[in-house]
Amino acid sequence: MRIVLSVKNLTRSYGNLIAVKGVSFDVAEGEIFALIGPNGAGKSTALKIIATVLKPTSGVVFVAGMNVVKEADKVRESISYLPEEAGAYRRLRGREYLWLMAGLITDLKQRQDEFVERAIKIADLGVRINDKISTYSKGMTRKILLGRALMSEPKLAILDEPTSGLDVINALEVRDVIRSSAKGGMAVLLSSHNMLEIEYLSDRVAIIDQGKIFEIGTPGGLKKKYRAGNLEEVFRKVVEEEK
Amino acid sequence: MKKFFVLLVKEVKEALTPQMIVPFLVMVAVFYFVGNVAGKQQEEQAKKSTVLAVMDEDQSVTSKGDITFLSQNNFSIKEYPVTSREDFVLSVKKDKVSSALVIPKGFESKIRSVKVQEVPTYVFINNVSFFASMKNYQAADSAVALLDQLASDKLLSSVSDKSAAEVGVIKNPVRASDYVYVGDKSAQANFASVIAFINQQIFLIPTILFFVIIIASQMIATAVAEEKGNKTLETLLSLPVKRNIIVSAKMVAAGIVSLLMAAIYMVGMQSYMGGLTGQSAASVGNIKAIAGQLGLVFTPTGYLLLGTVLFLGVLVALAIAIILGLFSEDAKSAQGIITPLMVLVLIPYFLTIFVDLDSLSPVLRYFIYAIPFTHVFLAAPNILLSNFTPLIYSIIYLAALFVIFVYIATKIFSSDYVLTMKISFPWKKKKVL
Repeated sequence: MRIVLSVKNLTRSYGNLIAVKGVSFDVAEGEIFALIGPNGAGKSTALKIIATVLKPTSGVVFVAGMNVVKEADKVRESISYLPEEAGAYRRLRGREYLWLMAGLITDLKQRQDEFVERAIKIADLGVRINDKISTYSKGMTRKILLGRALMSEPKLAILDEPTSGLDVINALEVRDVIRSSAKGGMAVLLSSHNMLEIEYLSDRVAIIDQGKIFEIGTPGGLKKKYRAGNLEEVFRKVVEEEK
Repeated sequence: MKKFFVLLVKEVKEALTPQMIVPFLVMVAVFYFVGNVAGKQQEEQAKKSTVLAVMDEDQSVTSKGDITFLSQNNFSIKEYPVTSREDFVLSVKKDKVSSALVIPKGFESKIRSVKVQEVPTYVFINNVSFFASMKNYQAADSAVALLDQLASDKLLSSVSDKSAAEVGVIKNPVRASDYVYVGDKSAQANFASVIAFINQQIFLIPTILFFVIIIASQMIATAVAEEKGNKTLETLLSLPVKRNIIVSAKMVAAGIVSLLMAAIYMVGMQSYMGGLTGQSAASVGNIKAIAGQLGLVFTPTGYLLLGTVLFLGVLVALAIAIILGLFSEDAKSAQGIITPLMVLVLIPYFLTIFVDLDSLSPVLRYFIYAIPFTHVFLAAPNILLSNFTPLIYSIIYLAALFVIFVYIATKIFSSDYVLTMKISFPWKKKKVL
């Protein structure tokens, strides 16, 4: 399968703090790849660099063969980014918000209409799509944001903690949407500190802690390698081994 | 009761944040600075004797004695040779003296024969700091009041049998007849009424302007901070939209809001002036006509220039506020983060009202003029006095500052600083990323 995302020796510092230390991995077309690790492991920083929001201190990142620093404007046409705990413009109605965001992605009216319709379908908010976002619950807001992130069917969707703070039902619905989008050929890079959830969602995972990736593999492969019952146990053993 | 104190401690701790304390301390420092500058200037002015131009047409013992009396009462008399009153006025204007009086021919004989003597006084309004220059403007009227008192005392002791008509004259034998000059225009008018009319216009403008700038800046800084706090900014930055488009859209939106505010302000001001005219027609006579004669009313060109300076000033404020908003992490901290902007507004707001900027030391004067909002507050007085050259410089300066701040904002939006910059207080613990 074609590689959509290629990350090589990615490093990012904030003053004296090195948030990401020489991280490397690839994500293929239609693949769900997860960065898993505790809070402060460097997941969000890595995702922000890939999403062209931050610049790396060193290392290179290619999305669909384009450099995220040198060709940032072009990269942005191929990606979609959902930040952790992101909000939406609360004074807008759900449909207005989607229309606004679609208008920032395409200049073509017909495509804008298509994007909005797809986002409404993904968000699945029923008549509440016409209500103001300020009246939405956390789960509803997350779903409309997911609809926004996936509406343009980007080559790469970057989802930072997509189910963070959601109840079981909403989390399951979000996972289903992500899975079905990947089946359509979209590469998905997501992060989570909820390792059990990722186990059921991802094709491959990278275990990251203190800015470094310690292990990459399929959930099944890693469990087998470390003789663990779940990814949490894998994580504990990997970190202990490194120490 | 213990629970009350537990909650009380919690509430106080939450209220006393650096975001609240720092702006408060900065405001205290600003008031101290302004008070210090204004106080020193007033002290210096109090020490100085007021310059008064005098032309003695009477050349009598009484008039000469009166001039000596004035110079003994803290007036610095600049006596001019007797000539026509027009030439006298020209000479005084040339010497940039603000106040003058003429002791008319027959002054002594009129006083002696217990008749009212009118003394022509001249006020030359030539300084935009009306409040600070008030002492100079009032010099002639104050001098006439002294001469009136002196003449009254003399008459009281010299006239033995007083008729009813004479009593009225003795009480007030010398009366001022005011002529007000603004540039090349002049009118015979009560100086106090004219200055009250000017003050009503001059004081209203900075007060409304102060609120427009502060409210608009807080609005935009909070909006930027909210975008940052809600992470809608991160989403926006990852979309296929060029950074300069994001900045220019914010700027134009801010510009439209400020234009709207400026328009509302203008309408409000015009209504206010209309209302004022109605009042003065009953109480102060035809002050509006006199103000018009003196050029002290805003013409359509004046309003246009005032609107331009106001619009540019608010745009500069908004451009600075957008940059400051990026330093804040949420809407709450945005309120404190615009403190530097408030300082830049407060200093010229007070100083242009209470201090004659031209009398300050060069360093301090240039510092005050470097503050963009000084030009905004000086716009209205400059327009009223038809000082259009400084106004043009102000427009150029404000436009240049706006371009500079927009450039800085665009640079920040194109860098990591848009997400990473924030103000951290040294006593606060560093957050782990």
